[in-house]
Amino acid sequence: MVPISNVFWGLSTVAVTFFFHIFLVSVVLGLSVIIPIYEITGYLKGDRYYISIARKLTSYLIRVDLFAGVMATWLTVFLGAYWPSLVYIATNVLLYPVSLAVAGIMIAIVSMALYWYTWDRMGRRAHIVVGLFMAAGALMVPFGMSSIISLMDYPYGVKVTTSLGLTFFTSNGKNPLMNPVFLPLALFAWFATIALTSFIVLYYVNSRAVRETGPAKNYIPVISAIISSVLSLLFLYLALSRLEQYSPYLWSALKSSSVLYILIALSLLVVLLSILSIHWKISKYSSLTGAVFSYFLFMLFEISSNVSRYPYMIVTGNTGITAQTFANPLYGIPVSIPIVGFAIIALMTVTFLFTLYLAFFVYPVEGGHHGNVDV
Amino acid sequence: MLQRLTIQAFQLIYLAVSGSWSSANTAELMTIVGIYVHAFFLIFAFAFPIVVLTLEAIGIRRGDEDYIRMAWNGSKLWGITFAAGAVTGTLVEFGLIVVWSGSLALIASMAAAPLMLELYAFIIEIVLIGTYLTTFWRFKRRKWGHLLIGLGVLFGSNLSAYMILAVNAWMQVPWGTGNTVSHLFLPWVPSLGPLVVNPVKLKLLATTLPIVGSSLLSSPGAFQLLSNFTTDPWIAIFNPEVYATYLHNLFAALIITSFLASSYFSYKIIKRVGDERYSWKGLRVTFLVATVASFLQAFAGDFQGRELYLYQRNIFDATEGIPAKGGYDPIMSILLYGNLNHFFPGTNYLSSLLPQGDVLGQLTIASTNTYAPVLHLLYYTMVISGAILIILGIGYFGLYSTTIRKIVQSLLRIREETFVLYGSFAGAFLSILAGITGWATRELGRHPWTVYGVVTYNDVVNSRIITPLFTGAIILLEIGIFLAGLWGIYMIFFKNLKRGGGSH
Repeated sequence: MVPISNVFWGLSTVAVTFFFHIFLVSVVLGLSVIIPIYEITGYLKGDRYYISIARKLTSYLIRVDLFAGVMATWLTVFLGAYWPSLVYIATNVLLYPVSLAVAGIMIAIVSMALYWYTWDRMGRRAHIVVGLFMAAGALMVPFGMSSIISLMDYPYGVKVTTSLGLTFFTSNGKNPLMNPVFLPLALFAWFATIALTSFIVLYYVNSRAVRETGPAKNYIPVISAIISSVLSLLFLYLALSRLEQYSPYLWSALKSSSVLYILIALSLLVVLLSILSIHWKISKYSSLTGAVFSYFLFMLFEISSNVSRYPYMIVTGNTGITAQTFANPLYGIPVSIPIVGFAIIALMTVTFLFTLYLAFFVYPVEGGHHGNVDV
Repeated sequence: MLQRLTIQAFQLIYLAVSGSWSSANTAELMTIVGIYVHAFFLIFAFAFPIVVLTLEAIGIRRGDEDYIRMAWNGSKLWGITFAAGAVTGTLVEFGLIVVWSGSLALIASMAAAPLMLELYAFIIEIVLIGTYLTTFWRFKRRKWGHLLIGLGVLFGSNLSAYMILAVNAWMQVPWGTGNTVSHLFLPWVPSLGPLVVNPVKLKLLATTLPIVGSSLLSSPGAFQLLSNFTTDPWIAIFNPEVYATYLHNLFAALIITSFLASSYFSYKIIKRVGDERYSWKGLRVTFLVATVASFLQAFAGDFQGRELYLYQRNIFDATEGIPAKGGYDPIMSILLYGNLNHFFPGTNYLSSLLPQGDVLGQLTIASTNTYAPVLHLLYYTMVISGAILIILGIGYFGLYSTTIRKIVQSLLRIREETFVLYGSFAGAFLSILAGITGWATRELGRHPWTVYGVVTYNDVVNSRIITPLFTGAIILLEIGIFLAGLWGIYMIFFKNLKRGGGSH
């Protein structure tokens, strides 16, 4: 008998942690890609402006990434504690894709730390190479992790056997990256987050330009926003059509709640805003609205596509395996643990935001205080 | 003994080359590298705050900005080591779940509470590190307030370490299982605390996993057979083994990091980089911290050793080099029994306790006998290194005591200051050596068990084949992260020195 509190708190903890994680990590992914583009442009053009923008953005990235990374650890432990059999199945079937994501995390964090700490302390070309490792690592993470979501939407590569009166779910040896749902989901995650970050960077560059240099050199985030928003629209369409074909329960849940239409409308709006951003004066407004709408698009897709599986944890066509089946039945995990967790996450989020405020508005980072030690 | 070690080394190479290694063997290799790389970075988060906060507190108390600057420079190390520590921690955590996926039974049961509390400690630590670094030099009037943030970092990192070590300690001594372990496989194990783990369910898990393997856990129904597993999910946190392990690891990490810091100051003095007076100030404080921790470590080590003797007698025999047929060990005898003549029965006696058909019990004794020479060597490398560290610590007081200064000078024919300068390098080397060999003794000694007396390595490894190629790729990545972390430390702390340095 599964303790009902484990089902409730298992869903709550994973939902809250997942929300916090993707809310922060989406910007981390986008910045990891855009920052090296800025540095390369600065290097090729011999223009310090682009390099200084890259440096400012990195100081933000480095702070947000650690907080976002902690949330990933929270997610993993909560999943293991509340949904052990689901995690076992995922790690068994998705051993290599998940390992790829783990490798991506390692490459991204280490190269990010090096990228920050070695600024102006090493040759520009070598520094750019570190930045490219950072971008590659960051892209590997959602690529590998999307295989888990794909597995829950359409359990490709799973072998179901019955023995000793028990049902086992193990790998059937097929490559899980060939799951038809996987690639559109992974690529949508990439381009939606890059589009979102492009708008944020565009807004930042514009506001800085007004203060300092007049009309902005803002073509990098504009081009990036246009390309990535068009591609995210394309892969959203592909992802939804694959869900319609392979995960009909999920599809009908999305369709019946009208979320589907909101998602498509938002995608089109984001594309439109990115095109309007070509005009500098309009981009001052379109960048902010574009950032808000693309954030909304990304979060809405992630939340709705996960919530729509309920009451199932894994969807199999028009039905599925319920969340209760996978919940930890060993004992009732004390309710005080998740409640204390929520209190701490609230307190630490406030502290974190206050630190960010201090770092960027009260004592802005202009370099100098992070380099070599004084001797 | 050297001959036996050589033969064992060749046996391991033969097994690897001939492809006879199981998934568990291959997976273990990557886990060993991963744990050590992680440990190197995490000790800076675990114990180095004590060094940094000591420097800052002295600076505030004396109104001496030199010490505060040292604390600032030291805290910069947190950035790079925390990033590398977090990333390798993620690797170890994923390794636990992805490669040793049978451990999910542990995570979902006895380790759930400590691991979730560790999450909370982790976020406190990471957020407060950011606040500490961002607000450094900003507290003009309330400098103690800044120190308070640093204490928050120390609290977070130590709570985190305690909870992780609680899980590891439960794998060594599964507290709360009463007499179940002795009834299952290992009859020499005493009662392990109050019986709060359902013995029927524990027995079901322990006897089914070796037959089905970790893929048992791919069945949600199998988990449901284990319902009502425990009545006390907090028991792992109150395991007496974790008290000893936590103290022992804390002092080990403090000795290593403070000796590394004192080596840095010594290096600058020897190379004549920067202000020598400034470096001596730092050297005196960091060496003193290392010395105090080395003295305390002797008591923590004794505490840990007593736990080993009490709960893991076969490993105790191996580490102390007690022959299989039994023998005398005067030092242990006097420490444990207050006389020199206690006879320690060896593994032959333990083997005689095993009931007929206890395959895992026999495997345990065989494993202990196989690894005994290696364990004995590793253990005594740690003990002797620790003893030399204490001698170094006594020698340090020659800076303040004329008598000790004279003894050092007459024995070593060098000036006291030279002894302290070069002693810090010796201290760093020996403390790292002691740390590596000590942890190896703990983990190697537990073979073949993941949870001592309950679940073996082979039971928890992922049922997918862990190939040598996969293992090789992960190990390369682990080594790459280690080198990248070292490179980052070099760029921050040493590159400027080579350039000729500046002044503070």
